[in-house]
Amino acid sequence: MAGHIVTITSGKGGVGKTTTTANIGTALAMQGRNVVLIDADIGLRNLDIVMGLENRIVYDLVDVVEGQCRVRQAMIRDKRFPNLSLIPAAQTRDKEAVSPDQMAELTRELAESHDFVLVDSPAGIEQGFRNAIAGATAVVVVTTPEVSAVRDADRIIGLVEAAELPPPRLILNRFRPDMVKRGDMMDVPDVEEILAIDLLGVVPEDQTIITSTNRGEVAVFDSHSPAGSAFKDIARRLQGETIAFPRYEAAQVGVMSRFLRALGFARV
Amino acid sequence: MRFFRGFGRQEAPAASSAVAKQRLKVVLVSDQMRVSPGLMAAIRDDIVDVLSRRLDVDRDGIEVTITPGRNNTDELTARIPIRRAARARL
Ligand SMILES: Nc1ncnc2c1ncn2[C@@H]1O[C@H](COP(=O)(O)OP(=O)(O)O)[C@@H](O)[C@H]1O
Ligand SMILES: [Mg+2]
Repeated sequence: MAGHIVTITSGKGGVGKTTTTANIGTALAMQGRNVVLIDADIGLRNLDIVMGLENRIVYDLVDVVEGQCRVRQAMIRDKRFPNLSLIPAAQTRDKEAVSPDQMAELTRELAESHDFVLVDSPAGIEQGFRNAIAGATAVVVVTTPEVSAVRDADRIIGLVEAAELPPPRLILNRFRPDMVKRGDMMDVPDVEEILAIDLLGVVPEDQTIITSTNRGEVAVFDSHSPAGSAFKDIARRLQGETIAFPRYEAAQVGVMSRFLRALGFARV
Repeated sequence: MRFFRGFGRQEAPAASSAVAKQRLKVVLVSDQMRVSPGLMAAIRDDIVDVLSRRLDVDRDGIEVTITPGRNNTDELTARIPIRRAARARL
């Protein structure tokens, strides 16, 4: 049976599509699945540097669809997982260099030999987006709990449904329980109510995302990372498992850590 | 915790911010050079072909990068993993 083709999209830029693709892809590989990631953000290549594979690029997505190389040649194998690879975006071309039909054909071909093909979509609703969803068998919409991101997510959900794809599922990223507690951020049920699609996961705001990306690693490698464990749960849900949603509570700051903070220890 | 780094003279891993800066310098040079993928591939294949006559080279693990060098030049660096078993032949 052919594998799943999952497109990660959002409408608004900067909400965490690339971070999500890298982490879910790696988590799926850690869980034994055969995975290929495609960076569909032509002209603004990023998934390679987030995965730490930027120095291994020879061929890219445009070379593949133009027939300059075989698909295999453009697949960069991950350093740690032989069952995880990346097809990078072209950096010096534009979105029109690839058509939706070509993307659909490529992703279907890859799904013959992989359990999961994950497509990292560019921001926007133009050709880049249409390319990214062209072959999709499932769509994941990423948003943050901010008004502009949720509004754009709603627009994207409408476009996915208009394209006659199955209803997309939602990832709420950069969630901050402390702000929700103070009434300064929408809570999970608020966003679910507005967007009215199934929730795939909630990923907390987590500094590990920045420090691991600095090193070209992903948060799922760090067993202490709250975002990392949220992404691992999401990867299991994508495989059809039922995983309870942990309730994120605002961290209690104890007397001792307040005292140490006052002395200048930032991270206790 | 940064505070404890001074003790014991243990080799602390580079701060992730320093790693980030270094990685960016490298990747921006290759973005700006716009070396065609075909040329990069040809260079890479040539290197592998020459070395493979004597060594068991891991083609998939090769990293070829171009970074700023001294005196207004760029520098090509290749990291070429060799499979362990092949060492006996050295
Ligand atoms: N859960 C998170 N916690 C902290 N920072 C995050 C989180 N998710 C994403 N980020 C940061 O947000 C920024 C945008 O993320 P990115 O994945 O590049 O978004 P997109 O691909 O949607 O444009 C990046 O700097 C990333 O490190
Ligand atoms: Mg992105």
